[in-house]
Amino acid sequence: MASKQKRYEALVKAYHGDIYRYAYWLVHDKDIAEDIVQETFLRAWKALDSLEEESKAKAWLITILRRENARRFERKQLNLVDIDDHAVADIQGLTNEASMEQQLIRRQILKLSDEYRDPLLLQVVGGFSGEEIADILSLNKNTVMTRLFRARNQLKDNLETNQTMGQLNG
Amino acid sequence: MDDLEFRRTVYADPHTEDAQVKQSAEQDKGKQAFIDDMRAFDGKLANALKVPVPENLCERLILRQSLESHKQDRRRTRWHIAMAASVAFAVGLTVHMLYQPFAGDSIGTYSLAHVNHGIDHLYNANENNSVDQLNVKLARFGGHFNSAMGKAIFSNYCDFAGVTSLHLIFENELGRISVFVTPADADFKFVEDFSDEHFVGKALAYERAMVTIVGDKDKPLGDFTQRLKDNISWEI
Repeated sequence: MASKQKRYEALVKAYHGDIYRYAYWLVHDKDIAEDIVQETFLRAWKALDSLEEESKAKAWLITILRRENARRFERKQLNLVDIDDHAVADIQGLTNEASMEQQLIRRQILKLSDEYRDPLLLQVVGGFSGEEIADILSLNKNTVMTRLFRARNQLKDNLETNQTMGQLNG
Repeated sequence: MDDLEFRRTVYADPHTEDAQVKQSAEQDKGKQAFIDDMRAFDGKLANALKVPVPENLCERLILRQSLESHKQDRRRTRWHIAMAASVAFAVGLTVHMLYQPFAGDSIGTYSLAHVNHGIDHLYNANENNSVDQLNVKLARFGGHFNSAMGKAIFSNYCDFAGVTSLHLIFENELGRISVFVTPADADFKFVEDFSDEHFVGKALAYERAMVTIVGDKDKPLGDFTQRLKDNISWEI
């Protein structure tokens, strides 16, 4: 029991930050993100014996979290809020610690469609390889690489358009 | 590697270890500059994504888990002290209360209700009961398994609308199958086949007991019923 406890605490310490950030960008809401992270780690604790390799812990946690998020949608299908309104409101809550450029990038990240944003988050926040992302999202690797390419391509385009417009307005 | 392929690969992963990308960059300063640009952009992206993590989240995650396992420990202790009471009793009571107005219902209805309400322990059970352990419990109803019926992952008495019954769960290629043994003198209507949206079941009537078998609707009971019939003997 003691070793299971230690193992769990090590897992929390090592991954709670990345898991929380991934959750945040998945749901765009601080409180919901924290709820999902709580549920995720609680489930991880209960199923800890099924985790065989420590090296797969992060991908395992991400998979639990994604399932938890899907459950939330099943539960709340009837009272969905408009995610765009929500996202903008919450982004403003983060203004204090971010530079103008960071805020601009954050807005553009939120504008990406889920299919592009998801692999990008797993790569940049999660630090996963193309193969690992393919595994987590049940896609083939080529599809993942194409989506990653399009995600960055769109982000860069949109940010450049934004800057040009900023200069014109200024 | 052509120019387009090079750009696509670097866009998809600015930190790629691809040998062809590296080679192209060594031969062409413009390409190296493109990689550097993309890496710088990725750095900005990573910084923008680095939203602050709530204070003490780590401690709260550990605290919540220790509270939860404390709760579980207490439950486990109680389980050992009062075998038939605790969880099974609570489940039985719920079923009992829910089905009170329909007293005199069929054995099938009760079996289904019991499986549905005890669904958590149906999926969480992982005991490993020997055939001897099962026979000790089954003896109360005058029954006896001649040999093991596969992996028995759960066995306990439960409250079946006020009647003490035996609940067994077997795991085999058909999934998890519940078997209930109820004394024959209990006041249940006998209906041979029954089902609901999730489960399907069969009842067998013996002189001293009624046996119901409930399995997943997607995986019909197959020959399990017959095997059970062949494998169980009753005191006369």
